[in-house]
Amino acid sequence: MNEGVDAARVRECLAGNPQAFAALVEQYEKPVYNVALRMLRNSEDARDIAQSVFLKAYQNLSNYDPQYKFYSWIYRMAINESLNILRVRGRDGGPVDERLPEQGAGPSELLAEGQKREVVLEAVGRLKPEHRAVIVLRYFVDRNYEDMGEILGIDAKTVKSRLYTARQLLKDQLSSRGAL
Amino acid sequence: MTGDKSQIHELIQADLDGELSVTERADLARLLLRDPDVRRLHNEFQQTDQLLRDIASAEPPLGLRASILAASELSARPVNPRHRQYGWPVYRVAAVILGGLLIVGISYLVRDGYAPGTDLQGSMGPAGGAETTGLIATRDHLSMRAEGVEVSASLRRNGQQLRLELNTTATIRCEVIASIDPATTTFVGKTGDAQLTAATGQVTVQLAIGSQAFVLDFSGAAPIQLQLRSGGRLLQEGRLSVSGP
Repeated sequence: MNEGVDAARVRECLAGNPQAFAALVEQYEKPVYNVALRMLRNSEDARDIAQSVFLKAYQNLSNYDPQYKFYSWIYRMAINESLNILRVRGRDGGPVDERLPEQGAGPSELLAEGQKREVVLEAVGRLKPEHRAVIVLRYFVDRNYEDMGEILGIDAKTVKSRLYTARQLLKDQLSSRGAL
Repeated sequence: MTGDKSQIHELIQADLDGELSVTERADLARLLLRDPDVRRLHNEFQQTDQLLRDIASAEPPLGLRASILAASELSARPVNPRHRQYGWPVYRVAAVILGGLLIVGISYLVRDGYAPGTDLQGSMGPAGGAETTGLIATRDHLSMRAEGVEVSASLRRNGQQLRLELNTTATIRCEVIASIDPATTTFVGKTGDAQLTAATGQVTVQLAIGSQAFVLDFSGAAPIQLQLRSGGRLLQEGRLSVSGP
């Protein structure tokens, strides 16, 4: 993720170049979708959120503050939209449709790996939203403490503390389910 | 486990996140050699970490990018703040003063029983139910709000037809039902994933989660009735009229 390139694309977009926005969508479509998917565990909701986030970003591009990273801005929107849904529906976030095993493994391995994956995702889904958010940002879009703090609007110390608690809870859940 | 527990946990976390300094790395190595409990804890956290890392990124659904770009084309183009017009405070002040004078003038006219030359008849009436949270109708605009959804609707003339515009933000699945004839209705455009369905005497816009806009042209008479529903439950309703003859 190149912040300089993103900033240039935002400027081009504001100057009226639609290709610049298309390039931003191409760059961040997958991570934004994954943030929402891992927060809510529902592909239809994730698709809705991804679309809504990019549309809001487009409509509010003139309000974007370039002192923050572009991806922090849109990940924050994706997290916030997901949290809104979780607030309305409760922590479970409604129907879950992630039941697919990973691709690429052999038949016997597939079942074990698929089951393990499901147990891990279920454990993530049981976390409180604020703990789930740090796990999603750390593991599914590979953000560091500083980025997570910027995205969530909290300081690095709080990020570390939430991440520690989240990992501890996951470790305990995975251990009790025999995944460790 | 010997030693400062919180310090041990902090070192293990930093190790997982690749944030250990050289000194800290040496401290952790010493602890791991010396204390089997620390080794066990470190091992469990590492396994948890690895299980999370093993989950591959999901591919977005086909067509997502195209629908985002199509929606952005329908949406208003972003404006560079340096090119904005009316950005001067003096214009804002003037607009506020003029707006205030206009409101005072209209209120005098209304008080004196003078009817304006149009048939603007915005009406309002929240649906029964404990979850109703607000409804404001003003002439040709209507705002409907309930928990998890906001709808702003407007109606105006567009040539020989009437144009209904809906701007919505939803965190729950719901629908807006308009009492207009589908046979005379033309879909103009939309942003987001809202879907249109029709039944006798009514058009239903099914809202997806997120922000959406929907535009319809239809032939017929105002006022029209709008209902906001979720899961078959009526959340809000109101009437929308139109300016002009």
